[in-house]
Amino acid sequence: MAIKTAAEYMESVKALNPKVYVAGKRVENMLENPTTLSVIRATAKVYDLANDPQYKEIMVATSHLTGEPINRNLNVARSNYDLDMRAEMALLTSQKLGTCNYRCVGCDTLNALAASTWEMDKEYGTEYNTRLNNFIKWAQANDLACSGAITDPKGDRFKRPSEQDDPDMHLRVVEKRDDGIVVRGAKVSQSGAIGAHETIVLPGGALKPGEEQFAVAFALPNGTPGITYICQYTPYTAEREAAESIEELGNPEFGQRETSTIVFDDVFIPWERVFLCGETKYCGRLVARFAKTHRMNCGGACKVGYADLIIGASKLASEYTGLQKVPHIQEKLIDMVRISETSHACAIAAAAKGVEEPVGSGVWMPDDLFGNVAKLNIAHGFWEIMKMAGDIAGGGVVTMPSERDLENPEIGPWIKKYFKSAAPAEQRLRVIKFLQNWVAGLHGAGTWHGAGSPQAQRVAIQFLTDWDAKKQLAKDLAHIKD
Amino acid sequence: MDNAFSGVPLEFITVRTPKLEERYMGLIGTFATLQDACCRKNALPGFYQPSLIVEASLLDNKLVLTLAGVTTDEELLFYLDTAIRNVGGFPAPHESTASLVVEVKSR
Repeated sequence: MAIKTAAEYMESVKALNPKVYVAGKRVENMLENPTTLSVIRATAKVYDLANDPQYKEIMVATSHLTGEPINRNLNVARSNYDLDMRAEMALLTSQKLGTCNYRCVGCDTLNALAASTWEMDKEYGTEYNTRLNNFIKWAQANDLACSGAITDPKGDRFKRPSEQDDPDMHLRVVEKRDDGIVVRGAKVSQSGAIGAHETIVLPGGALKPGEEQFAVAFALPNGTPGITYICQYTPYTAEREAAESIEELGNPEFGQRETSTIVFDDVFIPWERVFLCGETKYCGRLVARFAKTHRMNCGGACKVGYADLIIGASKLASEYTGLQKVPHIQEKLIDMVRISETSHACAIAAAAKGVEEPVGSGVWMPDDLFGNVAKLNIAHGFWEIMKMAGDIAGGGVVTMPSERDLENPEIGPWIKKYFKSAAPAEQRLRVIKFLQNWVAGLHGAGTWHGAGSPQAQRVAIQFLTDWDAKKQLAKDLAHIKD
Repeated sequence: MDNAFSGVPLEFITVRTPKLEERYMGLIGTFATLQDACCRKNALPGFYQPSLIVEASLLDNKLVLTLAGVTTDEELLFYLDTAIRNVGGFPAPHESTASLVVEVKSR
């Protein structure tokens, strides 16, 4: 059983009971709480897509470790084609979910670890790569949903991890034992971790000698005692809780992106699941590899899938209001496509120009510059796309009545009368509600910060760009002599 | 055993109640995680009621547990089934050889 069905995933989740809090209350059953259920539905949909023959090429890969068919979320890229299909998976899942593919970060952490553990074993003679491959084989054989956890709370940002008043501001090893390690700390903004079987934890950034306690990477089952998930709470959470039916909501089944803060209260990790412990030299490289992979997928594919949904809904909104032939509306729709497909093209380029890294490891990493440009472009472009969508949809996107009003015998007829346009009120309100989910939702800031805030991409682009080569080109043509 | 598990370092765990027995498997370290949860944190994975574990001790490769308020053997198995799944284990074929044991009873 290497590819689970959605039903098998749902069945496996029934047996799990991690400690989850929403708005200060513990969630006793994740399948009954509307917020946690939206995460589980979205994760189940990703399993569903892998079983759909029309998406097999994108969603299913062949394990390089066992030769078995596996969900691509558990695949380690071994070629440019793998990178391309990985990005296509991010695009497809965003188009089909309208929210996070909650297995995405887990996939990219495994790829970064595959490269870095191979390198560490070569230099230090450690067994990290063997352990990782064993874990990957186990995860592939059971088709486990893996989430990823990278971002530490960080405390005072001007201080190094070892200089913080409270050393727990960065997840750290507090005890080393014969059978494993004990970790303490927290990871924030973890998308969908509550619906995953396992979480793959990486250090939050580059570390220096003397900061060994913070240099730790591992995998752990999500029900391990000592872990607590404190979910985000937003107006969209409250709206979902208050809804009489999910059909009232902008993204009925899958909702907004749901994240949590994961607290690790002295959690035991057996050595077999530890993939880095104390090797500060490799932390920066490990996180950079995660970032280059995730920026290609997040910036150039995932958010492009979201943009496809927004563009489609904006086109519908223009048709429902009879404005589809107005030139400035058409121009805006074309601009939305231009922005979105520019990032998409960068992801395709990042995959096509990807290389084996480190050489000899068999692991393929995307081109760093194109991945960073994809993410930086969409970070800015996504706001532009939402601005234009809000423009096309009109003020109703933030002033519309509830679709529940349609059912009220006294006011329903007025809603039907006054919200009718070139399409019935029901269709118009539905598409406006769908767009509200985006333009007045959480995805703008989410896209800005996800896979690293734009300043991180600017630093990377500054470093990755061959400025001297560009200057020389200009000098040669302009006949400038030194 | 499924081909997909070929080469994966697995460990097999037998759960024994006074009258019943079940087998589980997990990646190496699953038993250590369960044992650490029960003995150090006094917590049965997947359950949050206080004082559920009355006693927990490790004797060689055997974890001996006493749970409060769990009356039947079927219930004891249910509790351990949930606990092992929450630390990443799954039911295993009965013919598998288990060197690790969880012996659970109630009080």
